Amino acid sequence: MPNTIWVLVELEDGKPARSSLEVLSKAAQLGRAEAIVLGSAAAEVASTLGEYGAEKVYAHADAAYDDYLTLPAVDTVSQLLQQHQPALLLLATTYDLRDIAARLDVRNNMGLITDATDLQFDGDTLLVTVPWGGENVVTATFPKSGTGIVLARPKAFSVERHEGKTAEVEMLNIPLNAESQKIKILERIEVQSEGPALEDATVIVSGGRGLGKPENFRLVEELATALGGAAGATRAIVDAGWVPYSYQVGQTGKTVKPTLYVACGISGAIQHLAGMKGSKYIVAINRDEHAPIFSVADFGVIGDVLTILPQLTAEVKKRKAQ
Amino acid sequence: MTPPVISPTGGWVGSAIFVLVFIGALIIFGIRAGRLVALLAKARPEDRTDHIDDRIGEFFLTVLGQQGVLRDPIPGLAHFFTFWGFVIIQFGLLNLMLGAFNASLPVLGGNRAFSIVLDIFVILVAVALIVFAFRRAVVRPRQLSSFLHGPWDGFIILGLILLVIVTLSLLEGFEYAASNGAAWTLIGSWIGPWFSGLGTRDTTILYRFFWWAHVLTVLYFLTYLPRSKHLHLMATPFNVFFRNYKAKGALPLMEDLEEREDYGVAKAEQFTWKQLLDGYACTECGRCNTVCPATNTDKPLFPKEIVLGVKEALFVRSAEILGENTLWAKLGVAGVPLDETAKEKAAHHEPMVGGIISNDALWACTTCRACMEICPVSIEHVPKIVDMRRHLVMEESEFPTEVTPLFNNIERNANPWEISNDKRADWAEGLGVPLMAENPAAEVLYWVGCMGSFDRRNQRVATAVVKILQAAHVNFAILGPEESCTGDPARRIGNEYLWQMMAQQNIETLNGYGFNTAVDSSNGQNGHAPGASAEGPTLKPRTIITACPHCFNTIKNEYPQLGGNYEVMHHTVFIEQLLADGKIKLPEGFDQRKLTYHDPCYIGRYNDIYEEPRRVLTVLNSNGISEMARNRNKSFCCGGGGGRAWMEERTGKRINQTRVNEALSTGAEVLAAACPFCITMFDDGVKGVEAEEKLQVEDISEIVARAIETPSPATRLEA
Repeated sequence: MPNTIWVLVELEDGKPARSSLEVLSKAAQLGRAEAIVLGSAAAEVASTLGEYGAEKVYAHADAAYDDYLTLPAVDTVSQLLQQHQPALLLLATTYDLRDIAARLDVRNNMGLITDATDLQFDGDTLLVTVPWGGENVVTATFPKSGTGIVLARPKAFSVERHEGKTAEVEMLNIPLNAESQKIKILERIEVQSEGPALEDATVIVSGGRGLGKPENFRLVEELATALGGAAGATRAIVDAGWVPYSYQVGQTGKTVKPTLYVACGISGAIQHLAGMKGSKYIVAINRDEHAPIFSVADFGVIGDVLTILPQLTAEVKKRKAQ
Repeated sequence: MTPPVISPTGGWVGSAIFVLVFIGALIIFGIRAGRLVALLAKARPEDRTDHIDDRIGEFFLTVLGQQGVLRDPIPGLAHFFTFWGFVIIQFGLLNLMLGAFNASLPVLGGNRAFSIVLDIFVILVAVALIVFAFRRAVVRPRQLSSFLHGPWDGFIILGLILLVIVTLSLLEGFEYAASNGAAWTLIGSWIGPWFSGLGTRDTTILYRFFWWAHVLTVLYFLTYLPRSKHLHLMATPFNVFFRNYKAKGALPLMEDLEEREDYGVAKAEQFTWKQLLDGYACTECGRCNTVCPATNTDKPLFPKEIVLGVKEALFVRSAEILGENTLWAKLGVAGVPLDETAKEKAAHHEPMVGGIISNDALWACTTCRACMEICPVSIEHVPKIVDMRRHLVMEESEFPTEVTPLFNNIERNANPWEISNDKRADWAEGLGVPLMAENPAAEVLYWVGCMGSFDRRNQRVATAVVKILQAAHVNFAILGPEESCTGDPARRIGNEYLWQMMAQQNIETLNGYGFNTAVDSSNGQNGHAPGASAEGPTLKPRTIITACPHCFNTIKNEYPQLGGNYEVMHHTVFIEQLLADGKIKLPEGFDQRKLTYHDPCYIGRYNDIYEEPRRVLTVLNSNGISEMARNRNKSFCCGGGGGRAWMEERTGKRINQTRVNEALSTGAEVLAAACPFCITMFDDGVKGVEAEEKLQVEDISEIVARAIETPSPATRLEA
């Protein structure tokens, strides 16, 4: 019998959060995935989760989950855990879910592994991969039986959608404990982030000094748009004032882990590599074949970005049009 | 004991009134000054009694010789005369006051030579006053102003000094006239004849009037001092005497990390007494502002305002600090009176850190030490800033977000990046460099540092150092994965905990290979190579060399705080020694490109290494060095120190570009550097000002290695 894996699906503006769908997709690969969704939009969302691999969904449509901080969710999941014994509760690493994981762990004495980038079952034994110290990893497991909790790193897994698949939905009808409604959310303030949404982008095209002059950054933006991604930059061209700081990828800028990172005219100073070398695939275009960027690239093009970029953009557009 | 020719008080009633006034002034002064001393007594303890002979010697040079202020010649000379004038006028005053009792000072009283010296100084002070007033009112250097109070204090002081010398001159003139020249003084003999038409009665009354005016002015001055910038007049001698005699490059150690209850400084009284005395000693001359790289590039940091801010914060909290059971509380004067701006801040309960002193100011500091180097009264700006950063980092977890990965990576990977420390020696592959583990008897340990190990640009420097060591047949090794970040950036950002963690780790490794030079008998562990003491002679002292001034400084000056004492050399000094010993030969005039040299703060100002790098460069380049205007101890920071290399520079001009422009203005083709952070900052700076075609940034070792490798000395280097 496959192991049952529970995923608590977080809601953002009444829609499932991308990070939750990532872990749900992973759960479906590991065994029988079941989702829990809590909040006023739970009913609508529950019916869509089958497409992301859930075979069963527990949903509780109650606005208290939206209005109070984490405690109601901890109560409900704890109650569910008393009735069912899944092998694992798999959660995405977000502010709320970290909080919930810690509380569930203590309240139910479950065991918690954080910062996972991969996990698999060896029979009934769960093996969790946790990066430790740069390129080192450790494999962790739970020493005792019962349901363990694993917090997975964002973007560790990709979202897989199977259109038309449905899940069995069980609407919960449990009274919420007034005790848990302690921390009321008074106000939500959206932080206005300027510039490109680099952290969320699956494709990033970045430009460096090799572009020659500020006007040529346009070529980077065009390729980014063609690929449906965001544009980034090195510290050097941010310092030179070509683009605002919000574009900066690197040690003192944003750390990004997109599926595809295209480095255009970037030599690969350590300050920049520190922010992007976790990308899944790295493509580098640079005139200098000794540029350090090639040491981290999966695919390198030695040549002038100014001639290559327009052709690449045109080709991407052409193929997308087909 | 010559009595005065004319009694200044005109009888016992006047003398009695004088005694009362005098005692009253002393009481007021005693309360005000005593309160300041009491505040220091409530601060943290710190021992500053080491090197007592040096302290006494330097006290004479700096206080009596006015060495510090004289570095800035015009106001310096003016200050020299004001200072000595003030001292001499005090003796004259004492003499005048004794006149109230028909007495005078032994030796000096009635001594014509003394009276001439006195009057010459009165004239010199008058000249100095004109210089000061001109500076304050007309030149108005920006550094003289302060956010914390208006310009009035300076003018009040100048006015009071003017009043002191005017009343003294007039009293001498009228005394001369009233005594028909019997009471001879230099100034009196000049201006006395003007009043001879007035008659003895009038001139005697006027003489007595100006005697009182003079004495009262000085007594008022005395009571005004404790709340004025002229407090420095009393505090500076002590501040200079108690200045830091420990290594300049060592930040104070934070002890008992596991058990202490506070980390860093949030409130004024958490500073040590010496840090607070700094505030009393500050003359508000603003020399620190003029040299600060942050101030000069429009950052919100003004070193002077840090010192004054701490003083202001201390006064705002003085009533609380002194408590209810003190003399001052009982007299109802525990609170030091505040300026208008300070009152406002106190009313809003503004904290010191994040209020009176903004966080942005604290984060703007590159810890370059230019402020401390120029300060004529030995104020310690940088330790204050780091103490307050410690509070922000360790208590508030409040620091620029981009520093988070730095802390995490140093802690997890022992280097600032997300790179496994196992790869630390990868750069040296194929160069024939042994690890210490393979060559434990190596005489020299080359401490590569994180930049040399992982940063592509600085790996070229590391490679150059290796080539030089090999050419000189030095028996050396590197630690490779056993080396960890020294913790320097963490300590200077305020993460003392992380620094101590890294330092302990490295000390253990270095001691394991027998590098510790101090045999610590107290615990019998430190200082010995494993088994060395049991088997006979300990290993001869071995040297650690490094191309990174930050590693150099923290290992040399700060690791001793945790028991690690090593012989450490910066690579420029080591190379110079190899040259001097004839271990390497360089073709003279090999590199004739026009070059300039940038003094890195952490070997220059912090460790006084200025000439060795220059000697190496001038061997290679017979044209000499085209010095930038700001060189040696006046060098202008690259912007990368104090952890700033790991933060974004969001406001003002770029510090690195400012310095690169200065290098460009010498017409140099090469900017020779001796620090991986300077190299990185300048490479970025050169790109930023788009001068890649004009200026190359090179480490001294790179130039030397190229000279060693090039077979023909005649070869002119290609750019």
